[in-house]
Amino acid sequence: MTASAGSMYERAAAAVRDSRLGEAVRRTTDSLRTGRRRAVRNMDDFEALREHARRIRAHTVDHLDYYLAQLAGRVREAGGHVFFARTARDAIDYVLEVAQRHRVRTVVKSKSMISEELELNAYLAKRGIRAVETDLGEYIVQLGGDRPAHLITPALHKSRAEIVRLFEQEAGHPLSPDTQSLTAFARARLRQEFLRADMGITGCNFAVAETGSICLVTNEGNGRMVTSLPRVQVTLMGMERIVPTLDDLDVMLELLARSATGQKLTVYTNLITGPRRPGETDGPEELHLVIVDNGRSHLLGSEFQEALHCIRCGACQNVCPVYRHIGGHAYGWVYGGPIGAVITPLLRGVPEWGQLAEASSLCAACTEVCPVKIPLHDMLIGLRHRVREQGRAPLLYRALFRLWANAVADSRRFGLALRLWRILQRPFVRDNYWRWAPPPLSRWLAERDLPAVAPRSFREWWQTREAGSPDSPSSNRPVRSSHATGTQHPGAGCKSPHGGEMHE
Amino acid sequence: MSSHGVPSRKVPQDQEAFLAHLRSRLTSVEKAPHPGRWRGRDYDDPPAAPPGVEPAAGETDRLIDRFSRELSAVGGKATLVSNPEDLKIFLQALTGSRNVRTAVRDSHPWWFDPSCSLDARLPERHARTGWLQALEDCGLEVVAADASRDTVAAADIGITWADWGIAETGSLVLLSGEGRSRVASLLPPVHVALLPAHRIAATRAQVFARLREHFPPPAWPANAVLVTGPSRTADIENDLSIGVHGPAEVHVLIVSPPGVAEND
Ligand code: SF4
Repeated sequence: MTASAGSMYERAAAAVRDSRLGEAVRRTTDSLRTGRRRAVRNMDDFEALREHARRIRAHTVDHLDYYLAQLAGRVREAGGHVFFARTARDAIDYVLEVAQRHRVRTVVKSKSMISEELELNAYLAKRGIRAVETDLGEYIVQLGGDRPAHLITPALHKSRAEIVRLFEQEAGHPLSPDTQSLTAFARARLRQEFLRADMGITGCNFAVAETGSICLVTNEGNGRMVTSLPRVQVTLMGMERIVPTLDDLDVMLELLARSATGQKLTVYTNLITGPRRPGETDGPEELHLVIVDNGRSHLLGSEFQEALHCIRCGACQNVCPVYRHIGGHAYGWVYGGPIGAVITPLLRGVPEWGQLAEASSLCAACTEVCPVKIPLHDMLIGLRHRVREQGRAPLLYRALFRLWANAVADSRRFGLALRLWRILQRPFVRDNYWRWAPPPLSRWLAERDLPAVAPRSFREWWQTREAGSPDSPSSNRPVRSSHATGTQHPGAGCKSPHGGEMHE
Repeated sequence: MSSHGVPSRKVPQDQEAFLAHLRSRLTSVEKAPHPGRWRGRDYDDPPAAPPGVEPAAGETDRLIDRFSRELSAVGGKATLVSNPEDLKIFLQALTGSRNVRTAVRDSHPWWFDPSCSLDARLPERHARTGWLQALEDCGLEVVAADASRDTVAAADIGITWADWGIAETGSLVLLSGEGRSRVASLLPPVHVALLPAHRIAATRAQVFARLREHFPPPAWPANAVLVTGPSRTADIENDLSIGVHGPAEVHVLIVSPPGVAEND
């Protein structure tokens, strides 16, 4: 299931060529981000709230050992079991052991990104255990033998036609393609699974240390089904998904749904604290909480620790110009978008995955919407730095940037470089833009606009002005281009709207 | 359930090693203080006056109004009722126009003790009250949800009490406990909830504060769910669809004024 890391550029290029995918991703992310904008517009104090949430997350992660111990104690007090899994293997073995002890045949799952990380379904299947995804989007993704493409709407890349085809295969008869009928089919089909399953597996939006509760939010209600009907509940939790108190949970809930979908609150906000109590007729008889590290602790104490503040709202994906063009799968692993570009290399290894840090225009839109104010674009720069430090940059890159560093370090050298560049660029430039170039620059140019160095730099213009011959700004050389000596536009990979006539 | 109620004193090995590792990673980190409660939030303002004291004039009405508006914004419906007769009429109207036969109800203590006190426990012998009588008389076949799971799954309507309402989001708060079925409000396609008006709080934070007060851990309920409107999804081409797994309809009957039921 794991795509190879080496081919991010190929995956991205394929995604860009797929116009239907681009359409689908844009439609959904547009709708989500419009929802968000509307939901936060009328909140006075929204910025203060984000800052408060950031501080809660910082405090919590700084004291993670303390709060996890408190949580574990509370869960056990309530009659639940807790297991701490350092590695993916530890977590998988534990879940398999519980499943086998209870002779589990069918598992119903509510959305859990961490189980995607662990590739748990495949391991369950190897033991003859059926795992059924019950979030409608995840169900579609599972039927398609696919991976989630978005944190909130995992099947955003699937067209109605594809969904109809998948559902008809399941149903064994034709279905009407309207949304209501498709939803009704999934409802009926999954209802059987809920009633039959021996075990429910869930993720965890937040654990609350104060009470030992697992907070699950879903709009569909599958989170409640999975934790009410099967005999055994297993909850997988990334170790950082914890808040100290109910008051802190309240703050996170205030932000999560608004940032994710623009709702004030998700339809079902479920707090589960231990197994069912004596006298109760439903709820799990046995509850296991599995707290998973799987590489997260590498981030603690590093410059990237704040990436663990993430509450997985997806807002950064919805606004990211790169994500909006290539979708989630091009990132190659479980998490797409800016947060994926940050944590995937950190969890799985910079040498292999570091190139994900290039999947950003550094426009900082992600940082601006992040409800817990993670400086995502700073982290991407930090990651790029790490990649370079580890000597991963192509030779040509390094040579060019050394030259560049040399030239800009001194104003005289810079002036000289500009004059030289003006002469060199002559054969390639028309109307202030580079029109063609020899390889390998041609490849770079194919997707970007490179403005020419202006005939006169700002500094030169300023000097003549100082000397008493003010130049008319209405000269036909736009001043703009004198600054833009090859700076990349936000939205790399797309033509700049200011780029004059297009060329291929 | 073997370990039920038996807190483990000994810290297991997996936990010890795991947390020690985190501690070692965190030693050099300058620890941020907790920011405290969010200043923009009402935490403690109790929405209902203590027993025997009249609530401030207009306060309950304001909360009812806000609750109803927020609920309808998310696709639910609020209706004011003042006695069991109203419940009967409501159910008759709800079922009159469609082919609906069966309903399940939870066995929330308030069916039997309509004072709607939080400390109400299931009475030894279930008293027959006006509310239960209304269910008998409404023309539906109503069974208790603790009967069997298949009965609940087959029912057309689930009828439950809600322990709290939250005005700012139009949410119901349903607690688990003896007689409080989790699935009665979940499996049937229509959910009808009775909510005492005096139990509508202004904010979620207030409800959390009161929960904490009433159920200090480990007395905390095994399940507390906030229900905000009908089940929904937008997973098929971003097209909104209602009622995917949970109910497609949520009707909240706000019982006001509180205590009227006792006279019935
Ligand atoms: S990084 Fe921020 S914006 Fe992105 S998913 Fe996480 S919390 Fe949301």
